[in-house]
Amino acid sequence: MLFLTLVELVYLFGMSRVISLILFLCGAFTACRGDQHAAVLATGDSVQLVRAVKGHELVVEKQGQTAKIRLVGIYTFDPQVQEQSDITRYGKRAVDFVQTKTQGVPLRVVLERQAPDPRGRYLGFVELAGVDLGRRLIDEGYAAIYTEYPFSREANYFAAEASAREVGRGLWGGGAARKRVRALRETWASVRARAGSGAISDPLSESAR
Amino acid sequence: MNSTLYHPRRTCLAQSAGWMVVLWLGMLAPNLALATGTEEASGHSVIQNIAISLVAASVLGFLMKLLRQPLLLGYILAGVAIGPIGFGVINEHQDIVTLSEIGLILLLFMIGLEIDLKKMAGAGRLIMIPGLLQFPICVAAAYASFAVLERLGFDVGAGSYARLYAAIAISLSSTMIVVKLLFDKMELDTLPGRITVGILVFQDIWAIIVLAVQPNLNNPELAGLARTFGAGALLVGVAMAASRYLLPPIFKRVAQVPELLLVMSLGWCFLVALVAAHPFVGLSMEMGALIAGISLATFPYNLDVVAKAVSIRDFFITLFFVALGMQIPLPHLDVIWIALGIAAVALGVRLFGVFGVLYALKGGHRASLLATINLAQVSEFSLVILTLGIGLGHIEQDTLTYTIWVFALLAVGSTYLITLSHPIQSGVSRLLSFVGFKDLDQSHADADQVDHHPIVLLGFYRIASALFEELSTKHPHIARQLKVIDFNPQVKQKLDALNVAHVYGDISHADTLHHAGIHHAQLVVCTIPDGFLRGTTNVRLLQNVKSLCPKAKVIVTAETVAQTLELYAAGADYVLEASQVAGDWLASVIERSIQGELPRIQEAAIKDLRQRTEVLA
Repeated sequence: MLFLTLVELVYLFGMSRVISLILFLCGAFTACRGDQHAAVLATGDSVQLVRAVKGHELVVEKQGQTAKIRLVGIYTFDPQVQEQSDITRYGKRAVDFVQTKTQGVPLRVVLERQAPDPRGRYLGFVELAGVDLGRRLIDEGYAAIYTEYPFSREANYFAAEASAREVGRGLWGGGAARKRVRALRETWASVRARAGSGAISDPLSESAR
Repeated sequence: MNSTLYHPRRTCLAQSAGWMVVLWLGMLAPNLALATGTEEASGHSVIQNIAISLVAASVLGFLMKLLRQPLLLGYILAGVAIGPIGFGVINEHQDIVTLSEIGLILLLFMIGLEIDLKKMAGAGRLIMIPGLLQFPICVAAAYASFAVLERLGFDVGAGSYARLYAAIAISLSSTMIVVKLLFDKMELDTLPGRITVGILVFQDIWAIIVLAVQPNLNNPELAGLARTFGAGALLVGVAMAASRYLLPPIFKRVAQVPELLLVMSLGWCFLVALVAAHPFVGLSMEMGALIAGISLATFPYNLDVVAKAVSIRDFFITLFFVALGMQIPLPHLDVIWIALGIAAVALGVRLFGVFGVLYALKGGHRASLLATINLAQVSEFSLVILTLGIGLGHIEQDTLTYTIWVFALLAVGSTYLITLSHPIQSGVSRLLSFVGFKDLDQSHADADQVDHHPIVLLGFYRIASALFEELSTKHPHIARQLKVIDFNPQVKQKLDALNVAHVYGDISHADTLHHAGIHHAQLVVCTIPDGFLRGTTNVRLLQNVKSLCPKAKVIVTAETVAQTLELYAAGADYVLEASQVAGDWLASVIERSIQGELPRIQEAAIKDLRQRTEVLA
C-alpha cells in the first residue's frame, strides 16, 4: 500500500535521497520507541514521581529506571489542549496537584494488571502513605471516574465522586468540564455495555438522560 | 537591458522586506502594549482580530510568493505566528472561526454552481461508482490499518472511538484545496477533474450522513436518520422546482445589472442555507449552499456569479486558514511522528479507494492516478467532525491534534502534488505498467476538451455586431471560429439561436477570461471603446489577455489618436480607431459626391442595410 507513495517520492526526489529519508525515519522511530521506560513494576514496589503527563498518567522512577503508570479508574483532562475553557484549567490543576503532593515522597504501586497495556503503561493505583492518589484526585474534583472498564475500587470511588459532585467541587462546579464528563460517561457506558463487561449503575450517566 | 531590469526588482524586494518589518512591528505593538494591561484588556474586538489576521496573512502570503511556496501555507503560518504558540497577539480566535465559516458556505455554493448534473450523469459510472465506494473503502482500510498499527504501539488517540473517527477524518478530502487548485489549473472540466469533483460531492453526502449518525453513535436510531434524509430530499426538490419555475424570470430581469445579479445569487444561496439550517430541516448551512448552487448551475449567468463571488469567498477562506493555524498546538516530536504515520495511511488508503476503484472500472492510468493525486489530502470538514466528536465525549483532544497536523502536512503536500500532478502521474504510470498494471489502449484514453474557437470577441456591441454580420455573410468559415464573451442576456439568446459559441460573463474579470478558455485563443478582439466599457479599459483588457495567453494576437479599440498610440505602446497588435476609419470613409464619400456619385452610394448603402440581419438591430 505504501509502495506507490514511495514510488512517487522516488520519482520526485531521486532514489538516494529517499533511501536516506527512510533511514532517518527508521532512526527516529527507534529513538522514539526505544527502551525509555525500562523499569519493570510489581505490586508493592516503591517508586518516585518523575513527572505527571496528565493527572492520570505518571512517569515514575524505580532504581534509576523509569516507567509509565496509568492510574486505573480515574479520568483527568489533558492539560496541553487549547480549548480555552475550564477543561484545560482542570487538566492543569490535576497535574499540579499530583506534582505537589508527590514530589520527593515515596509512592507505593498497586497493579491492577501485571503486564503493561499496548501503549507500554502499567495499569494500577499509586498510594502515598497509605492514601490512594486517584481517590484523592476524585475527592478534590480534579478527576472523574473512568467507567469504560471495570476496576476493583469502583464502589469506593463512586462514593467519593458523589460527595465532590454534591458540593460542586472542582470540575463539578465548571460548565464545560461538567458537560464534557457527562458526554464521556455516556460513551464509556455504551462501550462497556457493548463489550459485555457488565453494565454499571452510573448516577451521572442516568441523570444525563 | 537585463541589468536595468534586474536592479529595480532588487530595490523592490528590499523595499518590500522593509515594509514587512514595519508591518510586523505594527502587529506586535498592540501585543506589547497589552502585555502590561489587565486581563480584560487583552481581549481584542472582532474587527481588530480580523485586521491582525489579514495583515499577518498578507505578510506571510507575500513571503510565500517570494519563496514560491503555496499561499495556503502562508496563511496557516500566519495563524501560527499570531496565535497562542506564536507571538500570542490573538488568544481568542472563536469569532474568526465563526466568521470563516462564511467562506465554507460560499465555497460550497460555488461548487454547486459549477456542478452540471447532466454532465455528471453523462460521466456515468466513472463518477457514480467511485463516489459511492470511495468513502466506505477508505474508512474500512484506514480502520484496519490503525488497528494493525495500534498493535505496534502506534495509536491515534485515547478516546473510545478514536480509531473510527481518525479513519473517517482521513477518508474525506478537502473540497476547498482541490477545487481551488484545479480551478486555478483549469482542470475542473477535464475527465479527471470531473471524477475528482464528483467524488468530493459524494464525500459531502457521506459527511452529512456521518453528521446525522454522530450524535446517536452510542445507540443509532433509524427514525431520526430517516427524518434527516427526508428533509434533505424535500429541500432539494423545492430548490430545484424554484430554479425551474420561479427564478428564471427574476434572474432574466436582474441579469443586466451585474451588481444585483450577484446580490440575488448570494441571497438565494443564504436563503436556502438558512432553510437548511432550520431545526425542522436539520441540515447544515453548507449543505444548503451546495443545494442552492446546484439549483442555479443550469442558469447561463453562473460563470459571472462565480467570477464575482470569488473575491468575497477568498476573503473568508483566508480567515479560515489563519484561524486553523491559530489552533495548531505546540508540536512535540511524538505528535509529528504520529501525524506522519496517519498521513501515510491517508495516502495509502486512497490508492485502494480511488485508484483501485477507478482502475477496476477501466478508467485508465491517467484519469485514475490524477484523481487519486487530486484527492490526496484531508478535509477541513474532518476537523469539524472531530471537534463535534470531542464535545460528544467520543474522542479526546489528541486525535484532533494529530489530525490538524495531518491536515496541515497534506494541505501543503498536496498543493505540490496537484501542481506537479501530470509529471507524477506519467512517472507512476510507467512504473505501474512495468509492475504489470496495464494501461488502457491509447485510443480509449480520454481526450480533454479542446477548444476550436481561436478567435475571441471580448464584449458584443455595435461594432462587434457589424463585424459579425460582415464575417458571416462574406467569410462564414471565419465566423465559425468566433467565440463571444459578453454579459448581455439578449445577445446570448440571439447568438445561441445562431449557434455561435458564447460565454456569459463580465470581461472586466480576469477570472472570466481565464475560465472562458481564452488561453486557447490565437486572436483576441475587443471592439468596445473605453467609453462603453464598465470596470475595465482597453489597456487593462490588453494586459489581462497578454498575461493569460501571451502568444495570441490582440486587437483593441481606441477613441483618440493618443490612446491609439498608447495601446500600440502597450503591445497591441492592431488598434481600431473608429473615428479615423469613419473619417477615411467619409472623405471618400465626399470625393465621390463631387463626381456626382452620391445617389449611387446612397442606393447601395440602403440595399446593403436592408439585407443585414444584425444581432443588435
